Amino acid sequence: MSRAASVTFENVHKRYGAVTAVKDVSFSVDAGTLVTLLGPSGCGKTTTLRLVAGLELATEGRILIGGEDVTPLGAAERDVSMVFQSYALFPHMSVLDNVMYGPLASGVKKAKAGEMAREKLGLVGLSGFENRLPSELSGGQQQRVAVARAIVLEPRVLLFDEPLSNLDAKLRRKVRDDIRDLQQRLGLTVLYVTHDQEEALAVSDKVIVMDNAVIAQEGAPHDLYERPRSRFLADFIGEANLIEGKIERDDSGAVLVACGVRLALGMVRALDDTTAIAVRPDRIALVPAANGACKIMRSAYVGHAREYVVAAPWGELLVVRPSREAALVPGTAVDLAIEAGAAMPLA
Amino acid sequence: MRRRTADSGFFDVAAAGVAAVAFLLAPFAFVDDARSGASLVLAGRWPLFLPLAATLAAGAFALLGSRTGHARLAVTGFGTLALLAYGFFPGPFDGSRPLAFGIGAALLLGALLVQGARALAAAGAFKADRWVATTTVTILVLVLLFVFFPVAKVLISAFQDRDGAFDLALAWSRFAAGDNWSVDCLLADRGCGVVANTVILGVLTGGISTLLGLAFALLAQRGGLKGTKLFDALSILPIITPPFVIALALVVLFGRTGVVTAFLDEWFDIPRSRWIYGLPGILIAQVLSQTPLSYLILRGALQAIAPSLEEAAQTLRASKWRTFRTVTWPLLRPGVAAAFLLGFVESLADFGNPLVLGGAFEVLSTKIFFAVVGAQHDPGRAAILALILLALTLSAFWLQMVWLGRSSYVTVTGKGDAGIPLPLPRGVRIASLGVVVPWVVLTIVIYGIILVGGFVTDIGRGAMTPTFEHFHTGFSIEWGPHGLWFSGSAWDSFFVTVAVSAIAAPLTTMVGILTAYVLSRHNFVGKRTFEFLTMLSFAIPGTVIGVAYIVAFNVPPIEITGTGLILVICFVFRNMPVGVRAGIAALSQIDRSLDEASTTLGAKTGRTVWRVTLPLLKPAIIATLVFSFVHAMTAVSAIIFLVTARYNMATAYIVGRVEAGEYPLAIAYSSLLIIFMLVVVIAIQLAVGERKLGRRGIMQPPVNLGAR
Repeated sequence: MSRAASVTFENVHKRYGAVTAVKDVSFSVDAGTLVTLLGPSGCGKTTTLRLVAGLELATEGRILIGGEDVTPLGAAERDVSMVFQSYALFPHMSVLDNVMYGPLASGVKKAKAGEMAREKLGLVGLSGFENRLPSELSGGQQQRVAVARAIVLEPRVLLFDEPLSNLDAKLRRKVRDDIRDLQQRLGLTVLYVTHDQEEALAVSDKVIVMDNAVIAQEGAPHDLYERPRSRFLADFIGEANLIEGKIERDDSGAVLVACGVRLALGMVRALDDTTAIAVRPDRIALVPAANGACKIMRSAYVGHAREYVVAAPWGELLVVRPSREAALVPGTAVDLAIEAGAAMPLA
Repeated sequence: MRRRTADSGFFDVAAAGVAAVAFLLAPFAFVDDARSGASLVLAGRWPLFLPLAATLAAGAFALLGSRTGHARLAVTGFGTLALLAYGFFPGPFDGSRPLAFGIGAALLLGALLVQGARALAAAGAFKADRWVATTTVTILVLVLLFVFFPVAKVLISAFQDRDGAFDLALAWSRFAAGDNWSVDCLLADRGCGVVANTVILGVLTGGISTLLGLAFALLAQRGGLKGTKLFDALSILPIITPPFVIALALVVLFGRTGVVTAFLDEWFDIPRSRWIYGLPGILIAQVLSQTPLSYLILRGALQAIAPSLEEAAQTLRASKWRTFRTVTWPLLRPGVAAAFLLGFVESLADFGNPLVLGGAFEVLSTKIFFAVVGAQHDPGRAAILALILLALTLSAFWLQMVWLGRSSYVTVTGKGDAGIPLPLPRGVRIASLGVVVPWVVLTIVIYGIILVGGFVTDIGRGAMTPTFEHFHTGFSIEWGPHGLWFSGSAWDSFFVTVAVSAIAAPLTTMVGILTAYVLSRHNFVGKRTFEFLTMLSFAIPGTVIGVAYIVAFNVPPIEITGTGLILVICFVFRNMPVGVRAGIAALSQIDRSLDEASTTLGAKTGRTVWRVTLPLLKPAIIATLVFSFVHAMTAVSAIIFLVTARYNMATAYIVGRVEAGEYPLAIAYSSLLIIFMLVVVIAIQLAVGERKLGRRGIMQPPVNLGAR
């Protein structure tokens, strides 16, 4: 499907009275890519999605779809479809009537609309379910009807609002892959809202992380995970230990001095002016040492790994080690060894 | 598939066209004058040309495109003002007398409104949604014309003398008159003023009916009784019973020549007296009709209390009685307050029972009536009394908002809450049974009297010879020269009642449900005011509305008293809040994302409402239809001012028979009405399926709005 279009936000603001839900947001979604809006609840990601749909109108700024200014247009006038969190299937209509709704509303003849609807139902694997009512389908099937209904008009942009939140854990991974597969096969432009960072990393070409009505950082999934720019990002995407201190240089590279403890960081770029680093829990090794500066507080066995809470002079750390390594009992004094290149400088 | 629509000016041009054609051809004025707008202009009423020019200009601007919103707003605003200004005060324009607006004028005004609303949307109001703009503006103007305007007019007329001049001293003397405010009955052995009477009656009715309703609700929900179906059945009765019918039955039972009175006189030598006329009689009648409504409210409140809360209290070692006192009762209190205030307000608004049973005991609603139709004929006094009554009712509602707004505990979480409600403590159960059983017996006896009374010579005097005489007088059918001839004296009023109710019910439903939709689904500037205005008529007692309609609509430009139209309009705007409440309750159960899904699929607001919202609202729509039909059939307070010999209503006819002392005919007619409505309600239930009609939460809110 080559109708896919890009989406561009230029300095968009959305205010409700004194409350600012979206503040000076600019980003772009390239045609045919899947971009996620990720963030904690209340960060403005759903409002941003609704601004694209036209369900909310921007207070300030411009919104472009396919290079065309759609800022003042309402939802019915934009070439955008949406899959709702609740699916929003019309409970009084059959599956087929639900999917035909869009074409009929756009003035397509009934026979043609039925044909379009059947084709899309086949695409999501629901042929034979045309005459069921939504209430007679399982959660996963309902979700697929919602997708079929959204793509039947071949929209230039397809929006997903937390599409997996009503599914059970096992089904999530499959549906997530199905959505990505469909997007790739049809070459759709998809904007996807979620608060689950793992889900966002798994499906996206690009992730836009929002916090407090503004964009905190955007980039490819591995960029965000490997090079978070702020404490919020480091903590929000994956687990991270924040360590504050002063950077010094010696022969082996950079050294972080935190509360008198020297932690070798190896060769790390652009560290000199930072005052804190973030380290993933699985990138820290624990070395038992009689006069170690740190001490194991608690340990938990979770199958593939052991999770340790370690008391360091500056506070507590979370360390995750593969369970094949020897277990350390609480009370053991240890030294920390940060893997070379694992320290992520924070602004 | 491109989804892009330009703002075609089709509707604006069509509106201008309809108005123009009507201006040329249709009678512009009402009743007495068949001339069209055009011929009136030629006859010297030149200002009528201004609004026509405005609507044509707006149509022309619309053709130029959607950017002409402000210009269209200006011309339609000017046209509307010109039409209304000329309608009310033509003198300064051309020195003529006011003109009663007719079809031509109505269409012209309608065209200007539609164009104005669409211009508002084009100028950016209502989120640029033309459908919402048109609907909201239309409803707003109708409510302003038929609720706000008449009430405001009463307000003003309270301060005027007979010639229309303002006279504050006169208003004060009407207001402060001794027979309004005296509280002698509390201090000495004399009668109270009418205001004190009304308030005392209201407090007693509210209090007693709440206690009784609570006893019923506790037994039904917690008492482990088998007979709860009976309670539910009894609770429907007052809804389909015209308000004065219970008073009639009380007279038949306890009046001077009543059945019970005669029995007591003969067997126990208790002398016959007229005790039933006055406070005791009205009180019993009002409590009888109010108790079932209290029961419904309190049963709902009891059902909403999660059993797990009580189970939690019990696991913390609280006894049954302690749990009831510390958990159940506090959670129930808002419901109790609501039931009391509703009983109070209903008592204030009640007109039928005091009319039949009042005797020397006067309340505001009857006093207003006699000030208008009685020998004293003093509309100014009626207006002042109406104001006092309105103030009392509004303060009760204000109290309810302040009081309940703070203390409503929502325990409905949407999670399934298993658990068994606490059984009643023994003492409470016995006390409840002691109250409830005699009351059920009394209710059954009363309805028995009404059903039997029509078929015996004169039940009021104990003459029990079976006869069809009364039905013959009222409802005989003969073969006349022109086929079937409904020769009975009551047929005319019956047919008018059914016709008016059948016309008013769908209109009420439409206005009410659309208002609910706009209120709960759209945001716009002035929404709170709009909401207040649409709910206003619910707070206004029927007697006040009746007086207001006479004062406001007896003169041009809206001169519709004496027509069937005023009856329909009165019902539509009296009962509209029922639809609004039912609609809002139902809409709150329907996820907003359904509307949004429809919109993102390219459907306009009109299509979304028609295809998605209305089908899902079907149960609320049916419930509103039933209630507005039944309310129209049984209303008396407002209607009694508006009926005429030609357009008489069943209730007004019955009241007339009661005043003439023809009790048996009145009872016969009442029983016929009750059975007719029962059949209609059951037929609708069967046709739509009981499941949908009886769903909790949709059926209930309208019941709370029993104000007549």
